[in-house]
Amino acid sequence: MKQKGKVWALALLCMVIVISLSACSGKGNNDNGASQSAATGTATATETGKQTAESDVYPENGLPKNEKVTLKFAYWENGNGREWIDYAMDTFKKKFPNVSFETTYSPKMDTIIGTKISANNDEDMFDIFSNNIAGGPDAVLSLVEAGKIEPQDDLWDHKAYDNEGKTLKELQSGIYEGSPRVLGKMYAIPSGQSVTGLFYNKALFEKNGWNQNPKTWSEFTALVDTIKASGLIPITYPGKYPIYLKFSFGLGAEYALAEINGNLDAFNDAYRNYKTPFYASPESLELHKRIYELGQKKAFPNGVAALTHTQSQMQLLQGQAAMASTGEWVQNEMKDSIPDGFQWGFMLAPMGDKPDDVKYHSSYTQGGHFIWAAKPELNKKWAKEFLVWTWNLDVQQRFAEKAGSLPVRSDFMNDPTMAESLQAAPKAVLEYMKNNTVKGTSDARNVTLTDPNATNASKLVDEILNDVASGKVDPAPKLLEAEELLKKAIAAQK
Amino acid sequence: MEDMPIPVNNAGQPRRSWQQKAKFQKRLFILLATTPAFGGYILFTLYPNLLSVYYSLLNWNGIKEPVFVGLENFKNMFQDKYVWRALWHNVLYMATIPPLVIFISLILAYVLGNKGYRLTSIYKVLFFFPNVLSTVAISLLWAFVYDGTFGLLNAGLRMIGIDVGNFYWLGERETALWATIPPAVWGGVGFYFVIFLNAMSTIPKSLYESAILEGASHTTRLFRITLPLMMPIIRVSAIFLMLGVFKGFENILILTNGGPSGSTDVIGLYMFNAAFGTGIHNYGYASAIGMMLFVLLVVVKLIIDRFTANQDAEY
Repeated sequence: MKQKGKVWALALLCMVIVISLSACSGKGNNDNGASQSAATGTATATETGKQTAESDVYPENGLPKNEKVTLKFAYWENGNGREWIDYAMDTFKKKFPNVSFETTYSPKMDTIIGTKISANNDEDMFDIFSNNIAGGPDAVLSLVEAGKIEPQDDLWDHKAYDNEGKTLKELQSGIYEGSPRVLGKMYAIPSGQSVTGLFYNKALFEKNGWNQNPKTWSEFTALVDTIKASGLIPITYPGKYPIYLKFSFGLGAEYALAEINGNLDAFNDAYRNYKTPFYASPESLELHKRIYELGQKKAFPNGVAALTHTQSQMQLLQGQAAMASTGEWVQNEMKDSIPDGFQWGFMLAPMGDKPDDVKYHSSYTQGGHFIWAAKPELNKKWAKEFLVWTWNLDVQQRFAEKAGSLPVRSDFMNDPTMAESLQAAPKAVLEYMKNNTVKGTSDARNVTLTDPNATNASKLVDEILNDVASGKVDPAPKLLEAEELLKKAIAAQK
Repeated sequence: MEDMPIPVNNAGQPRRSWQQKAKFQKRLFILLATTPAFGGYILFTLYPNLLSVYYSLLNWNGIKEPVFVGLENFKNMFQDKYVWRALWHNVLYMATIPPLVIFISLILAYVLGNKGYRLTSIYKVLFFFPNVLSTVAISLLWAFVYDGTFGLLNAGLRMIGIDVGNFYWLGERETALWATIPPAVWGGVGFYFVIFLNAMSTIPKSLYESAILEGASHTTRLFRITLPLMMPIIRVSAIFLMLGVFKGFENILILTNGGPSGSTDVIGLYMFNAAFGTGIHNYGYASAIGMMLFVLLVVVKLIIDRFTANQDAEY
């Protein structure tokens, strides 16, 4: 008994020591926070009190030269690589030597950011971080509702660093309108744009005389039949991540169908605000019916569910598949594996029966970054300045050349010499847009659902996608089942 | 018993004896020695686990303020058909992987331990080799084996006259679940093979010699001497394997990500995706699944104990 008591006493003592140590370390964090607040206070006082001499501030932005700032930066290292952002940071540091970066690069940045957000430690959190976060549009909406990220609408009126007084808004065309907004505000100004759809080898299409710009659904299915008859896989995608199929047969296609049906506003409202019918909407039912139709034609690879995105894109490059559902970053991502003679082409799967029907693509603003709202004011100001810096023409050119995506500056796109520096895949996208009536849409939402039934509805639809694309499962009953789950989730949320 | 006289110092106060000092020093040493390990356990195991009990009562996506929902997550969990589907897959894995690993490890250990092959030490290294590979490496390796176009399996089948075309073993609902079993078995055999081999070598030779003198065959010696004497180790191995299979999901995440159409989803992966997946995050719901997993693991352990506890033999 006495022995037992001693063991308990020892365990308790250990616990006390450990808890005390952790408490001390926690206090340390708070102290840091306090000193940071003090720094913020100083920065604010510097501005409001106008005690700083004019020579101590940068004339371009009015920020102090003598206060050192380190921006913790989370860069999502995706198919765009990191060269362009390194260039942007290097030139920014040269211009503003008091600012430095502590950069974390990772292809799995969404997981890192998600963990840090949940830890809710403002000191440890990044100042600037990729807008590609785990949980997708719902997580972004939650961040906005919780006031965790900084609105960036003011940046549209910010003057560009390299263009005689023009604002960013004046230097773009369609980017302002197309940038995702959450509850009416923009939280990640894009520094590039991505377009998804079907990419193909032009040389192969030319050699076979295949239609490179089908204007209607029937022309498209005829193309699929022709390719299939030649022994190739018409369309490949990585079934391990079925979202890639949605890059061509997803939200954009549903918007196209909604416009054809004259139902655009209602569909838009249902999507953005999680209203029903959504999974069982005429557009969703029709789109999945068409994927099923393609599946029955064996338009997609056998065993597609096992394909990774590298395997699927290799099928395209090695000539086993005619088209791949992906984004314009594909060229940069696969640059070491592209065979000689491969020429990039792009098309969207047309949903209408009339050649002039509007085609929609899923548009993703690239290089968009959030700013953590609970950071010191000075850090946030410098973070915004850096995002503006990425609009400089030289940075945009690096983005076009090294990242392989589309820049946002219209003066870049309108300058033939500069536009020439684009990689072939994004050029193919521009070529397609020139020859067709195309609009873009984003996946941002205004409402989030946390009820498990919402997750299950989405899971149900995602899970059937490969089977539908293999022609094995009729999607309609499953979509109706998903709709019922969504209704339950909406009711539970209320 | 007569009490020892208490030594006093110059001031007449009792002086602490050498034993008393030693006792104090011993306690201090134990305290210093155990605090880091015990502290690590409290901070990184006990505290998070207790916290997840609390999380399981919340509706929390990691961003917004958590909302206390009582047992709602548990209610939803029992009504969630995907939970039951994932558990069923776990049951299938538990019914196949541990018995296969134990059976193959025992055979290998018995053969190499008794036959006295010249290359036994090389075989030991070869069989143990998968164990030094990470789950990620093993899974990627097997993903290539199962590849439809360039996979070793299809090529091997073609060599023996079976042409399955470009069949993706991990891409079809009918085969994916079964195709994920060999990588798990291959990765697990090496460790248990070494354990069983060493356990066999500790059985006294005299037992076998007596058995041989009495005319016992190989089979009789295996089932009457070797296996009964190894039963405690086999039981512990079975527990480790069962628990590992039940809570593990890394190989599934890499090989199939739960697909195709959820046909390889397991409860650990389902829990992981509820918390960190690409869809809506719900840490509360994921924690509730974690709680259920904990209870199930305890039950599994008790069941194994119940059915194997009385089969030990001593020598």
